[in-house]
This record gives sequence, structure tokens and C-alpha cells, in this order.
Amino acid sequence: MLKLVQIQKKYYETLILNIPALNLSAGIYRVQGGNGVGKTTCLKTIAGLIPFEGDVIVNDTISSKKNPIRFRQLVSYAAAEPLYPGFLTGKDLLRLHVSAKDKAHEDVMQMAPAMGINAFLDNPVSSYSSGMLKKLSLLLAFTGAPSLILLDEPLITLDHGAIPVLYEWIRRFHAQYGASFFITSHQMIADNALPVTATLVIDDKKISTVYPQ
Amino acid sequence: MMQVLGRIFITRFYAQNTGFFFLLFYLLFGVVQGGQLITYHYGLLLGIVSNTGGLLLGLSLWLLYNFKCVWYILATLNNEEFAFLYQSLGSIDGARQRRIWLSVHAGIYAPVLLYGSLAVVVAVTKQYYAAAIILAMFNVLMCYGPVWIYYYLLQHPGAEFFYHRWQQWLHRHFHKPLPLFYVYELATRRTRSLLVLKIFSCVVLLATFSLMKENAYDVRAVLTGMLIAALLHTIVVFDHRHFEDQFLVFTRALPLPLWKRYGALGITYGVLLLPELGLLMIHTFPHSSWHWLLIILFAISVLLMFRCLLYFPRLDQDKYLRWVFIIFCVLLFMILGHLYTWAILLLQGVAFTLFALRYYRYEPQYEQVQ
Repeated sequence: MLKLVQIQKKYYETLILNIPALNLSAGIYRVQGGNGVGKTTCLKTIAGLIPFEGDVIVNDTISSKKNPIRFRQLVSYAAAEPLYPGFLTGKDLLRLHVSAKDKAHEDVMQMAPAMGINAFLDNPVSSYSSGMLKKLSLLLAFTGAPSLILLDEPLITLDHGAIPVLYEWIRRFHAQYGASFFITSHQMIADNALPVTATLVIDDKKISTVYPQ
Repeated sequence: MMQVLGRIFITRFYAQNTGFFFLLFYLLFGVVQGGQLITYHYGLLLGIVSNTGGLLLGLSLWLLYNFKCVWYILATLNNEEFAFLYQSLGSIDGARQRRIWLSVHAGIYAPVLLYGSLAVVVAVTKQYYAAAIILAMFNVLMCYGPVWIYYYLLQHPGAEFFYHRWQQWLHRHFHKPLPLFYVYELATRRTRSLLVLKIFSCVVLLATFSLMKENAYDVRAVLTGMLIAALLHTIVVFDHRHFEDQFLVFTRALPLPLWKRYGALGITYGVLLLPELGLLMIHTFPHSSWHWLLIILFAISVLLMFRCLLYFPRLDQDKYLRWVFIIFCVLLFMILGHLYTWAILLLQGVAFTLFALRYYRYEPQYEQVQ
């Protein structure tokens, strides 16, 4: 499902990530590591949001460098602290994402009520609380027909009612559409809440895969 | 009570608008010699009271100023810092509270009240009684109308006014396309900067056209004027990068082809240049419609070139302005040498090449490791 080839990410001259090769099958992956080890940088690199050396290949053939548009149709990213221009409404952002992506697994407008944000979608995001903004960014990550969804700290600022909804979306998209997930979280994900395939541990610029016993 | 409110509303209003009042002071007292000051103002006041056009112009400008005053007081009341006013001022009985609001509003509306009163005196002495009555009634309305708005707002915290309902209606019925994000940001959050920029830019073009009245029409002169107008936009273009770095990172994850992204930039600058394009239409269409299109393409190409330079993240403001100056000089010589079509092709070629090579490689300088 995902292949990382000779990935090197530097900030100025400092090497942050060095992943010679990594092959992962479809699944739900937790991404772990201490503060500042490069979890967000890793997710942004895989999403193609920041420049890097090497290549990321999704679905065996789609390269982030050679097919950047097709790649972006298959990979979604939800930031830990989403930031949007305050004058845009939730609906503006949803329309932009939906129109940019060809197909869709599901209609996100139908998904919005479960998160409790449909009533706010016509309001500018400057009026949203941090929790509302987080829910909107998560919803945006589920637009289109992604094969890989990268969720950076998806649980922070979410209320208790929204967390099971998010888990249900992840399980459903994985089971019905074969979508894979990378989830970074400093908060505990309850046992059996998600069928986690493996944990990716980022340490000392490298990634190691730890499969459950 | 009035002392505290005076500090909160009146003093802060004049302090925040110092630049505006300096400009106003200059226009009213600095453009004529001391000896002619009274004649100048008497002429202005007579112009207001003696003909309908002058009266309508005067009233429209005062109405705009009053909107500014009302907007300022409503914004202060909506500021969390001053939320205590709902508790304190809101507990004062109706008539007294309205008197307080009248004093506050009159305090910031004072420049117009003063000039308006002088206009009434001139109107009465010159026997323009209708104008005097209209001026007096207008200013009474301008003072009392807002008092009822403030009073209502304090009695009904969180009340939605027509403007908010209109905004919500707009949000529901019109979605903002990607190319207009930055224009929207400028129009809503940096209105004053945008207004000043557009005034200066249009003044440059108007000066160009007025110079041409004395000589024969020459497209090179218009292109030079447009080049200077584009040059005035350099900082807005520089800030565009900052806006994209801060708020539009998410758009990099959207599956949009490069030509669409580049086209979106072109549309952004096309919309930003609409006032100039309108002016150009008036003044160049009678000579040649082709020239109008040529100048539009030239202006958009210049701004695209400036923007694409900024896909080199280490290009700070100093280096950027140096490159802008070099580009300006090259373009100026190309215009004078009748090479303007080539200049457009060159700008587009270089800008798109830079964009295509740099877009996915670009990373803001202050990106932190997380």
C-alpha cells in the first residue's frame, strides 16, 4: 500500500528523517515518538506537503514526485492544529476539497451531522472553537476517495462524543473502502477501539515497525 | 462615568485614526496658503450649501464618516476587553444612558458637527434656508440614530444587526473560490492598506493619462504608468506569500494541476487590479481595444513574476526588492524599445518556469520540526 524510498528530510543542513526503505501493507498504523522527533514532519512528508529527497509510492505505482496530482487524490492529511483563513466558512472548505477530488467514498455532507458540525458549516471558521475546527479538518480528510489518511493528533480538543464517531469512520473507511490510516496521538487510544495493524516508532531519524504480539 | 467612557471611546478613536486625521488636516489646512485659508473654506462651504451636487457630496462623505464612527463603537462593544460595559453602562436607566451615548458619539463625530454647523451658518447668511434645514436635520439624525443602536445593543447583548444577517446570507449563498482567498483577506482584514494602495495606484494612472492629454497617445506611456502601478503592489505580493505560508498550507495537499494553481494566481492578481483595469478601459478603449488587453496581460504578468520569485524561500524582503528593481529596469527598457509583447511572453515564460520548478520544492523558512 505504501512504499517509502530513500527518504531524507533536512531542515537547512540538519537531517530530521532518514528512511532508506519502508514497505507497509494496508492497515491502521499508530505513529509514536517523543516530542520533536519528527512525527508531524514524517506525516507532512508522506502527504507531500513539504519537499524531501526520495519518493513516496502509494498503491504500488503512484509516486508523489511523478504523479503529484493522482498522489494527492489518494492521500489525505489532517493537521494537528488546523489553520484556515478566518473568513472562509466550513462549507467553502468542504466545497473546495470536494471539487478538487474526482470521486468520493462517501458524501461528507451526510457525515457532518455525526460530528455535530452541520449547523455551523455556513459560519466563518473564525467563529469556530478549536474543537469545531478540529472536527472540520477531520471531515475534510475524509473527502474524496483516499487510500491513505494521515491523522496528526486527531484526538486533541475533540469532545467525548466525537471520539467514538471518529473511530467508527476510521473502521468503516478501512473495512469498506480499504483505506489505510496513520495516526499520531499522545493520548491513549482505548484497547479494541481500533484494529491497529502495527505501531510505527520514530526515533533517531528512523522508523521501525512494531507488530502486536 | 463620562471621563472613563471618553478614554475608552473618544481618546482611543482619535489615537487609532491619527493618520487619517493628519491627512484630513492637510487637505483642509495644508493645501492653501495661510492668507487664503478663510476664503478657501468659505468657498468649500458655499459649494456645499449652494448647489445640490455639492450638498449631496458633502452629506455622502459625512455619512461615510458616521459609518466609520458607528462601526468603531460597535467593534469596541464586541471586544471582550470591554465586555464589562454591558454590566456597568447597561445598568443605567434609559434616558440617562442615551444622553451618555449621545455625548460619546458626538465626541467622535465632532469634526463633522463643527464643519456642518459652519455650513448651516453660511447657508442661513446666504439665505439658502432649505440647505440649512437639510444640513441641521441630517446632523441631528447622524447623532441620534446611532444612539438608539448602541442603546438597543446594550439591552440585547449579542443582537444581530442587518449587516450580520446580510453577511450570513452571503456566506450561505456564495462560496469563495480559491483564487479570491487573498483578495478577500485584503478586503476584509487589511481594508485600509488596500484602499491606500488602490488610491496611489489609480493616481499614478490618472497622472499618466493627464500627461498624455498634452501629447499624443502612446501605449508605451500607459505601459510605463502601469509598470509603476504594479511596482506599488510589490509589498502586497510579498505579503501574499506570508498569507499562503500561514493559512493556505492545506491547499498544497489538494490534487490540483500546476497550470490550475498558476492560473489561480493570475486570477488573484487580475481581480486585485480591477480598479486599474477599469480606469484603463475608460482611457485606452477609445484608442485601441487591443492595447487594453495588452496592458492587462502586462500588469498581471508583472505581478505573477514578482510572486514566482518568492518561491525561493530564502528571498527576504531586501533581496526581493532588489530583484523587483532589476525587473523594473529591464521592463522599462523593453517598453521604451517597443518590445512590450516580448516582455509579456518573457515574463510569463520565466514566471511559469519558476512556478513549475519551485512550487513543490518550496517550504516556508520558519517551518519547525515537530
